[in-house]
Amino acid sequence: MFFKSYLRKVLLVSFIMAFLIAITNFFVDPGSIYQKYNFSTQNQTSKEFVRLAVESKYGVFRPENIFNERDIVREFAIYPVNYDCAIIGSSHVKQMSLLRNNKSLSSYCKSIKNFGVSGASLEDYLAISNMILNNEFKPKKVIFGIDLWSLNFGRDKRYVQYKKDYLSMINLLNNSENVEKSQYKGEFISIFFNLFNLEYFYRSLNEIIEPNFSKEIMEAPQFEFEKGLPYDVIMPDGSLVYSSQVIKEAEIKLENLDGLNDYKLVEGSYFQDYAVGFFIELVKYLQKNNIEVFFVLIPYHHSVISNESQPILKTIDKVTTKIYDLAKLLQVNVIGSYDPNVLQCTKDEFYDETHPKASCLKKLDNKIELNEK
Amino acid sequence: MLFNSYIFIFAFLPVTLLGFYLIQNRGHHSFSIFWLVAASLFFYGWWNPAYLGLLVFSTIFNFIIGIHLGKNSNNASLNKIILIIGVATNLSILGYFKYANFFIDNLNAVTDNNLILNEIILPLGISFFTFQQISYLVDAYYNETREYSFLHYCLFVTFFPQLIAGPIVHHKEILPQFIRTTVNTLKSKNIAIGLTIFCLGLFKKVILADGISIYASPIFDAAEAGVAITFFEAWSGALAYTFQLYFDFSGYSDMAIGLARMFGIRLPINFNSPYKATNISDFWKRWHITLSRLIRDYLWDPVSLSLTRFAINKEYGVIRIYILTVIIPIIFSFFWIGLWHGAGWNFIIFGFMHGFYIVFFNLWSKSKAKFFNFSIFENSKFSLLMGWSITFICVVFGWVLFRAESFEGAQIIINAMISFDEIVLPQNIHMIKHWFSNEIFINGLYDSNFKAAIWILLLLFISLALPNTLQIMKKYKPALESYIGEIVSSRNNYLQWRPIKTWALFTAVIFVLSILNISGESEFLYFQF
Repeated sequence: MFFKSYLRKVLLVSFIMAFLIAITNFFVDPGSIYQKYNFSTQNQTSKEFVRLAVESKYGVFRPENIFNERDIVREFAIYPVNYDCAIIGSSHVKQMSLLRNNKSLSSYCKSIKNFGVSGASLEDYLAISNMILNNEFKPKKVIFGIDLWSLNFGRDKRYVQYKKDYLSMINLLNNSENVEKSQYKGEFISIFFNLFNLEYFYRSLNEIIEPNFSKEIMEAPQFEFEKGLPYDVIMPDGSLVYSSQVIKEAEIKLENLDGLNDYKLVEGSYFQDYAVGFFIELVKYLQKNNIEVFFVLIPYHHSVISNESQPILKTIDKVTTKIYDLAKLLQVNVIGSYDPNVLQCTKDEFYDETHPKASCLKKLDNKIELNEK
Repeated sequence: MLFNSYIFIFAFLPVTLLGFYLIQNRGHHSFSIFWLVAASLFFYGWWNPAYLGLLVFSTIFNFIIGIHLGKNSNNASLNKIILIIGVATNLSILGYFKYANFFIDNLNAVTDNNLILNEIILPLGISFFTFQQISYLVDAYYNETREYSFLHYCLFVTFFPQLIAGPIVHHKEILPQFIRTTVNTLKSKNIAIGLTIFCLGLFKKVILADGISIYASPIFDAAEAGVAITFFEAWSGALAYTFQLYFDFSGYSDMAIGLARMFGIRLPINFNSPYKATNISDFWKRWHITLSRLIRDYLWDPVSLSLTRFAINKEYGVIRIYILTVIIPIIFSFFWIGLWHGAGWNFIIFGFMHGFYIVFFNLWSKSKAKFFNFSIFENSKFSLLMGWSITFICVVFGWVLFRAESFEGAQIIINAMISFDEIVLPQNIHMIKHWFSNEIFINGLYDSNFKAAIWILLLLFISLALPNTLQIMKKYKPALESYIGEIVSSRNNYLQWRPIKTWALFTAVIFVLSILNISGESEFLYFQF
């Protein structure tokens, strides 16, 4: 009798706790994952955020945890405005801008839209390409920031935020609907179980206790790009300026970088053949739509390159060779290098091991491999 | 499938449990055993169906050998040949899957050749089910087994709670439980006890072991990459791994014991607060008890016995007898314990290291009374503290070899742990504001992250001051003890489990916390063995 009652209590309390946590995560939704289902007005806000950013003079604040960066990128991609170059890649390209003193790729682009997102994967490339092709204002050039993990599927799951665009592009390129939809089913389960994620719950609680900044979208005043403002700023071209706190902390970090880096890398697995196949099809498809494609290699910090004992160097070697092979095959120009010495970037022109400052990105043109038609 | 995965907790376990009891309640005992075997094979095949063939072959092969050994008990020479074939086949399979690449690598290094073997995928839990069945064959040879049905034997090998990472069960303690039909009817008592033990194990694994693991891995990875490591970094990495391994493995054992109990089966105790040990011999009586027991019964005892006979026949002197009957069997047994854990020189050295610890302890115990008869060495608190400190430090050094991916990596960490002249206090004290940040690599490896120290102290406290899961559950006989009184119940009444509201609330809270933390499944450390 005692045991039955004990079991009932354990199950009841567990259920109530789990339910409350899931409800909190669903409605507070600090990462804007459930906004499609929870009747929030966040979608409208992302659109409003992008409109204000594009129309602003110096950009808008992007406080942490309010907007899902992939939602912003989606709205940015479908926003109707003329532009020359679309930059697609990870946070490594997110600093690239023509609106700063240190302009990136100024010899190639008259205007840019920066679609960089954290940890961008091949799935992101496909989804964003689909978005920009569906906009009546198409770019003349698409610049892919190729990271060491880019030629693989499954290195980041966040693309699921714009899964429809991803699936649509996959179908367009290969008509392999069934395979990819089964992959999506797994993602849906992940999203469901995220309702019971402790870390997400902490963020939800944090959001309730200390509401982040203001939900109002605020324009940034004129400021020095090298020093930043209290919050990250998204510039009118979609590029990012880090907050003053991040910039300050980076200065301290920079003094003691150990050069160890294996972000998203899997030892012995440099690129998947079928992923490379999709990427080739994507580039060909863009070219067929009269869009010129470029590959950009963003440099790592000197400490990474000089740390000879770590496996990333082998990855750099393998991936670089593959990228140059692909560039030749597809007649695509390759700009930049993973080696900061090739571009003549100095050690203090970085925020950390993997994120160069705009002053370094300005020097990308120092290394160009032409494969023009 | 992992115990700490949603699919296991919310789908596999409820379905298996419900199916089992529904069948039992209709009186179909054999069919319920078949149901458990099928579920266990599904559990094993979920990972990689290709592994299933080997498990099924191994089970059928050993069952047939066991039958033949039983039938031919009058023909000693034939039985010996059958036993040799059985043991050799098991060891060959294990050797191929687990040690072939290690052997080829060493052969290449010695002969300067470049032999290449295709990549061999290590079947999960192969060491566990192979050794479990070898012990069965040896007992069958000595006519110490009963004639079990094939179905019961299958469940003995494949029973999913213990299949992948133990406890290593003995046929005498587990098979009779399968045969009894009365214990397996639905009992809320079994479910309540099993669920509580499972939740405690899940909490240890998901919250404690996974929580501290982030402080161990960067240090060992850095050492593998050849990065210089400071004294504090080395110790924090080694200590973090010491607790990670304990809470991971003992958490797994608790989960296995809890799961089995839900089906009315009691598994043997596998951990008994090993970090409370005050000498190294005591440590091995508390750590991975079922492996120690297996090695003692099937390796140490026979080797020691035959060497004793040999030494007596030869009329050797005291020292030679001691070497032959104590030192060699110990070193030999620990060599196999090391090798059992993995195919690598670091595991072999780990085994030798513990072998020598035991030998030194044995020598010390013998000589203490004779040569060091001081009151300080009597059973005083000081003596116990000294004993505990030395044992714990020795164990920590051993774990460095155990965790490091290469001998060179281990060497870097051990060198840093004993480089007293290179003790560097954390620099840039202004980074103190990052105490509670998640930045592990802000400055050096640990300069700004004192979370590691807090974790280590917390887990040290839990390991030393609190009763273990089986002590908490002692009143309800949660596991089979190796000897009567092995599990001592907690002196604190509050820490003894009872089916009351407070414990229900506690169990629910740790269960929900663990479930919430299963965002990324991490594999149990012991699965690789």
